[in-house]
Amino acid sequence: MSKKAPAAAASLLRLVVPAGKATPTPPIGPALGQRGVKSMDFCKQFNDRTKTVEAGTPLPVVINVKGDRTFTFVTKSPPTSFFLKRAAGIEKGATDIGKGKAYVGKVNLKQVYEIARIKQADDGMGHLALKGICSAVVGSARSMGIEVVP
Amino acid sequence: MLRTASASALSGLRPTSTQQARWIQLSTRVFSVKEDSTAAATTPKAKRAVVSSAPEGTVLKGINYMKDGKDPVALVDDAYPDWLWEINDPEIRAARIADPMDKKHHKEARRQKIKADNFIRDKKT
Repeated sequence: MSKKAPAAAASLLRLVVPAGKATPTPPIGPALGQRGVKSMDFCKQFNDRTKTVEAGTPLPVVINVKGDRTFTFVTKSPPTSFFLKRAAGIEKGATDIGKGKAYVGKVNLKQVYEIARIKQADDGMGHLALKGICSAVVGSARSMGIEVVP
Repeated sequence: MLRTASASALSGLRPTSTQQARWIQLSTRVFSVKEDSTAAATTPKAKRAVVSSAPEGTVLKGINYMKDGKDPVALVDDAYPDWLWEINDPEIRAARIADPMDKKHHKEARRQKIKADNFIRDKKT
């Protein structure tokens, strides 16, 4: 959670919120409340915007709270690990990875490609080559104990 | 201090660091040889060594996360870019690590050196 310091002391808040389900006190309530934002307002707007997304999908959100307590937010695509777990059909990533340790799931390169395409649509990724994003997805899979097969 | 030098003058050098490798890369002028385009058009696409485990028509599960959407369907192997089949190839990765002009080589060398130094340092305590 970084703080910017322009004239109106805006602050950035990064959260991961399940689509369509907002306002639980622990994650969102205090984080927003500290910055003087009514969490109900954010939750209503967020749930509205994420109506088209499958309920419960974790969505990273960047909330920009301006000095006068108004806010804007941007939603991004779900985390790569979320996609990989679904694609491999597993609930959790590996507890332990490395040589000689078993993989917990398998994913093929075409799935990696599709995941990378979704990721590329994000704001911050527009300048990256699709090949680079694919490599990043493969790297994530490797660190989760998911085998990438052609 | 970038001096342009002919490729032949520098061809014998073995870079000892990423910085050096980069300098050599930048300062050697090489004219890329364009592949004969007619040859590429007439020869059939090389038989791909890697065949996908998801043949055309397989539903790629878990990708779609929109309510209205559906999981994408796999296309023919050839419809995907060539580099896709190479990104997970262990031989290519090993070749890059062995190549002293490649950044990966120096990264790996650096990693191993740090590991060795740490090992020695830990031994002392």
